[in-house]
Amino acid sequence: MPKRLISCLFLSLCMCFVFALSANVKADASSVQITDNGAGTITVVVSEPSFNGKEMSIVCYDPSWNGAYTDWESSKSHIVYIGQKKINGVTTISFKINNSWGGDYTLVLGAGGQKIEKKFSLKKLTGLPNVDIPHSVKAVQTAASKVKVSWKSVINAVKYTVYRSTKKNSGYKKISDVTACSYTDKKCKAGKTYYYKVTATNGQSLETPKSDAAKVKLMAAPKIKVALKGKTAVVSWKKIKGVKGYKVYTSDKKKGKYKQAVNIKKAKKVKCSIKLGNKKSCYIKVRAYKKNGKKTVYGKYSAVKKAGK
Amino acid sequence: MRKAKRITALSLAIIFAVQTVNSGTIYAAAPKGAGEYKMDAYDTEWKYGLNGALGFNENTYKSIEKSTTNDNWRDGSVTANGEIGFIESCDPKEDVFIFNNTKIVTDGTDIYETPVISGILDEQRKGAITRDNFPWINEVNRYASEQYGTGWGTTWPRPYQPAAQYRIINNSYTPENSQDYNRYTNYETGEVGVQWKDAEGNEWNRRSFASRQDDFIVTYIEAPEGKELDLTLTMDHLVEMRNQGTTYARPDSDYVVTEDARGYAFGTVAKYPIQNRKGSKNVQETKFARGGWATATRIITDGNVDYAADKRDIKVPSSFNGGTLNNVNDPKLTVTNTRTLMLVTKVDRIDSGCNNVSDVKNELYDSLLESIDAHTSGLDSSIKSYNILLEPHVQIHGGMFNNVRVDLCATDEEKADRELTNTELIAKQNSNKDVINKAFLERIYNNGRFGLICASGYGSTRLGAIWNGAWNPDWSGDFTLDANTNLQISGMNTGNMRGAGDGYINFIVRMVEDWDDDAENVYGMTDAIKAPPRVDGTGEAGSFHFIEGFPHIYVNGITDWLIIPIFEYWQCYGNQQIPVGKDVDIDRNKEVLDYTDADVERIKSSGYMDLEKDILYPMLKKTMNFWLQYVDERYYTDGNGVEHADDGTTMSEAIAAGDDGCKYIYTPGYSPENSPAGYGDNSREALAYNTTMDIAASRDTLFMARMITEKVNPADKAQLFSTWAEFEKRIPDYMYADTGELKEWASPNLGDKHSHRHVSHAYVAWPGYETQSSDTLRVGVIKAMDARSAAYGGQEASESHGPTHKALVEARLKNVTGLENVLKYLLTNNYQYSTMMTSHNANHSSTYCTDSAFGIMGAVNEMLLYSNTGVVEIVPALLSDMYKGSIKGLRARCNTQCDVSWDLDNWKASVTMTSDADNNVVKVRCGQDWSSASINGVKQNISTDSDRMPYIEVKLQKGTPVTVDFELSDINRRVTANTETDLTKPVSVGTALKFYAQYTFTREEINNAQWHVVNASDNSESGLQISVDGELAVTSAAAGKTLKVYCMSPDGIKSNEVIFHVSSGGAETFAAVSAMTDDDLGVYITNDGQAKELAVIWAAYDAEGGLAGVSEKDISLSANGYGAVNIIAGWNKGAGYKTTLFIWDKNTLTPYMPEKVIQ
Repeated sequence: MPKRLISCLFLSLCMCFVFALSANVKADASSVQITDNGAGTITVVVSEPSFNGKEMSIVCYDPSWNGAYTDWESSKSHIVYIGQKKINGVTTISFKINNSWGGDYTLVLGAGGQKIEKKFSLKKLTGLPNVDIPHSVKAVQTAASKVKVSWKSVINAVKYTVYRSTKKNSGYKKISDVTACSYTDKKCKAGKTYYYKVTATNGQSLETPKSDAAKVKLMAAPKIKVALKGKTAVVSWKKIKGVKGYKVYTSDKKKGKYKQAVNIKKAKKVKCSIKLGNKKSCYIKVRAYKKNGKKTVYGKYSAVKKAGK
Repeated sequence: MRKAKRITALSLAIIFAVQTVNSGTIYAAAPKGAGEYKMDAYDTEWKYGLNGALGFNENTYKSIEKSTTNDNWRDGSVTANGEIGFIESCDPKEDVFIFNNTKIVTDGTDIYETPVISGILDEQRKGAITRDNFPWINEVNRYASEQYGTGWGTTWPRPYQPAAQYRIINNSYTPENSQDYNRYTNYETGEVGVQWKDAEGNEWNRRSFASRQDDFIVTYIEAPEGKELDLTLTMDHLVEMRNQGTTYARPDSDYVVTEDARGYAFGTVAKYPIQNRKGSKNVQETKFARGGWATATRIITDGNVDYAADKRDIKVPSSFNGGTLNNVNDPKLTVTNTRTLMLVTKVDRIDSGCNNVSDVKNELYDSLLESIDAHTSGLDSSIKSYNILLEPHVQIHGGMFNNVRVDLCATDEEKADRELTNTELIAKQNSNKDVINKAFLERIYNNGRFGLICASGYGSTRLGAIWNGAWNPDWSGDFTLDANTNLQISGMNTGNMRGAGDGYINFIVRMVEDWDDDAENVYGMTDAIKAPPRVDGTGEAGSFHFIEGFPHIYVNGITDWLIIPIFEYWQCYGNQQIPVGKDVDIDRNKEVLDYTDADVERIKSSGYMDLEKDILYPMLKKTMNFWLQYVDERYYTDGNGVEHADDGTTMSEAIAAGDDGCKYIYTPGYSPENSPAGYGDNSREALAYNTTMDIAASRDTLFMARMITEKVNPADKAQLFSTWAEFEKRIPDYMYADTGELKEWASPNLGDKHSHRHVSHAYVAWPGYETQSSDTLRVGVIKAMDARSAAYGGQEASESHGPTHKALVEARLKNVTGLENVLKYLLTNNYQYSTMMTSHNANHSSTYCTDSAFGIMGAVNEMLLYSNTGVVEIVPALLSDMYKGSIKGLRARCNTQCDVSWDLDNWKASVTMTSDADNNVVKVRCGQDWSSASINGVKQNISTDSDRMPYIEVKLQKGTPVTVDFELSDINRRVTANTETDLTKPVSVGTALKFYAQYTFTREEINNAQWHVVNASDNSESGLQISVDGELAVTSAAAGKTLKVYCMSPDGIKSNEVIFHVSSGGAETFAAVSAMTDDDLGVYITNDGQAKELAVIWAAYDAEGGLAGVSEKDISLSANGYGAVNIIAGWNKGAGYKTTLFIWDKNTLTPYMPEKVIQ
């Protein structure tokens, strides 16, 4: 066998081994039975053979957890219970979830490097504030630096609080209190992705947990290049994802009035030519656009570039 | 026990607002509220006056004669707007105004550049160590001869000088005016006033201020009802002013009286002499050869003005080069037939285009007058018009001044002292020198705030702030940067005077371009900056001032010292946009501050510089470049302490050979302005190496550079951090004398000379922070400061900057005894004039100098609130009898405003913090013994800081005040056991550990504690012995064990526990030990042969088993490694929850060991 081939096989085997070591093999979810007593107490019966005789971790996440544990920081705010138990044969454990607002919870059990992940549903507990978590939250770009956030109203809410982050699972900061079911965030930057969550507060000033996140990515400002070929200016830029097309504008003066020169209706087309005619130069800028229903929403203008001398 | 109950302190809410006006920014305006004290005594006696505002009254004055030898001007009342100001004698007979503009300096013929001496650097590096070769001064003269055809000489910055001296002669003066008399300075409005009564009891008034809004000086003069003014305005000749030296090249000057539709105006116009820079080569005219200066005063009155165009001959004193001036204009303007008069004056310099005084009149005087008229259009001489001009100025000046209120007086007697005049207060303090008079300290504090605000705007504060009545003042009245200006601005940022900070930043940015030349010319460096020792404020900043025995050209740490206040501004206020000041050349700074064309355009068009990106980051990066190029591999101390000075070996070779203890030698270096023991004062051997100041400055630059670089996040950040980390490993260690004091030079070959005014080696305490985290260093500095005092027979150096510097250091050291001693010295040795401004030396000797006037204010701030990024400590160095008081409005160095109050008799100390940023996590500490801390009545968890001081952690949200109330306890009820050894790593068998014990808050050393060392896992006997001195020899019996050390004080108080692991020398087993420290959980883990990434989780459960809170810390352990984490409870410990510790794999969250219930 050629040495090269042997090396490749060896490398492949090593990679498989590494993969096997690092892979988080899931044990059998059917070996876990979950029930609740309607008052927040959860009973779990674990019969997974591979867990037997081992210390087992118990982590229960709230319904807004995205299901992907990456690190403690991103997940900790979703933990509603955490504990540990040594498994001896079929083992029954129970724990209590405080302040269940209802929904699909996730229980993750781990032992010996293996996990069992299982979802279960709970109803909202009585005794909690008479207001529900806002739902159906949407975020839509409405202008170059504006995003409209909207949600469905919930009963008994006297106000809603809108939170924003640039990360899905952490870093949410309050941006506004509103009484309507929508809010327009006017402090957004082109090209950035934002996540929004909303809470409701009742008349007793009790605030719900945050809703599911709504994501929006704002159209970036095109970064344009201008080359002069004879008396024609060739404008190009990189494709911007998620847009409908681009509009190209020209002016005789840098700070003058710009007129639309070209309307490109395909997102993939990222180049166009502009004839200068008798002019020695012109100034060019470009912006992307997309459709929001019937309305056209424009992104931020590119920087102005000069074509010609 | 604490003292008996005193009067209850009241609280004050301060509301902040920011508003921009035409020529100044209003940085907050705090409304008065309960708890503020007022100056009321004179309100009922006088029509005008303080009117309840803070300031002073004074019933003495000194006449200012036409004299070149009399210093009476130093007792004149002063005010200013950051660029222009005046000194007023307040003499009711002949009231003299001396006008200043911080820009107006005497031109000189010296070489105001940095000489190129980098060619001898190698030789000088070695000579400074071998102590026998100092070629640098010869190289300076060789360069001067070659380049300029002259020697260098002693080059001082261009001297600060008065601009003009006017006299208001009161033709209706009677002796009664001097008896029923008061002058006052209103700190809140920035006004100077003088008032007197005549024989009939009628009151005459004068009020003046320097407008920040309009950049002119306004004087309002009012006769009583039924009376009329009778005044004559005259101008003294410049040769009739005080001269502390000799003016050989006398400027030409003249007096102008003009009349137009608005009436009369007058002024002084002066033309700098046309002369060349000294030397026969590269001849060029001096900087101001075609420039001059002028004052212009508009007389606004509805009365009669009689103009007498007199002339006279003047015999010129020798201090102005002698001779006679013949037929000199001597105009007199007499105002009568009116009750009110308003004088509006502008003062400015012109740099070019003038060949004679007539040109100055045409080019400058006329434009000044035009500007005055434009801004006073429609105004008359009434009090109403005066108030129209005053009000916007008060918004800016008072907006800064009123941000902070200090209240140190507790008893009625102490409060009554507030009503005393300045001279009465000084006399009362001197009548009992053993106790600091609190009203006196308050007056000094408030005067310091007032003065620093007045001096700051265009730039920052000079030796005498912004005031000077003398030509050729000592040390040129310059900006001395190896202590003086630095001390004076010590309270600028924490004192919430943001406009003053803007002035300081512009002062630096105006000259930073020359710092690049300094680094290149002295050291041959590229892309680096180095600051000079003193400057004149013109924006030129060469290192031109030095002589052989004062090798200031080699004070390397000044750059860091000058950047610290800018960094501190950033810490106190967050990243801000800094307004570009006058005469700041952004194009000139393009290269040195790494601006792109777009940056230049942005800054110019917006008028603002971004504090992080445009100022701090480039300056800190280039200062790091300085340190990286300053060190040389051929000069190092090896691991055995042997110094190598270009002996054919290099540090890299030594490291490669296994010596990892090598450190650079910092050479050459000059510790201002001292020389090592055994060498004459100011001898050439003052040039030395390994100055502690330079070592501390380099470490501080690293601290600042890392923080700002992290924020700016440049593309090469990782590379920068890597390079800096390698450098950091090789920074010289600090060194201590046998008697324990921190040495001024970190070399066994250089002894200390304690009989010296400067305390530069205290840099580690102030302006640096290293003593906060090292008790050895802290004690070393305390001993070094004590050694300084001992050298002065238990007193202090007479030069006020010495004890002022020490006051700041002692406050930072939280050494109450040291602080009290030095403050008493400064308050009882007649530094204060009758205006509370101060002299350079005791008993009003030497020169007018505001080092202590302003610096004490900074020390009081430090005494009442210590802060750094992420931490505040209230009342860290409270004076021993200061049992009740408050200070409100201070800025902490974590972008937070703090209102602090204390009432020891009622066992309370509190701080209300208002952050300017969201999610601002701050450790809140109290320097007095305390037992618990509450927010809104809820007791908070107590954590333990790295120095074993307790604190509570608070997460502040922008604009939301949070009050922390500390419940104080008996003194010395908490004991700290600690060691300087790094116990985060395993200790090897054979190591000798030294533990020390002290009372936690007073830091009083405990010499006869009972020490214990036990196994940490079960508190069983360890088999090791620890001596009464806390010395522990780690024997093989401890191998592989995790041990716990603690002590019992003689009065039965158990200390904290210090837990550490002794390496087995081989395989370890996986095990964890936990222990509570205050309300934190410490977890100490040894690992087996497999590396692990762990999540250490501490969870709390309520009575029903529901999760009440969870905290977690990650830790990476190498095979057979050891690590420790401290976990802060994420729930209120007072709730009594059951808690459990889990140690899981960080990635799979599966357990490594059984859960552990924490009691």
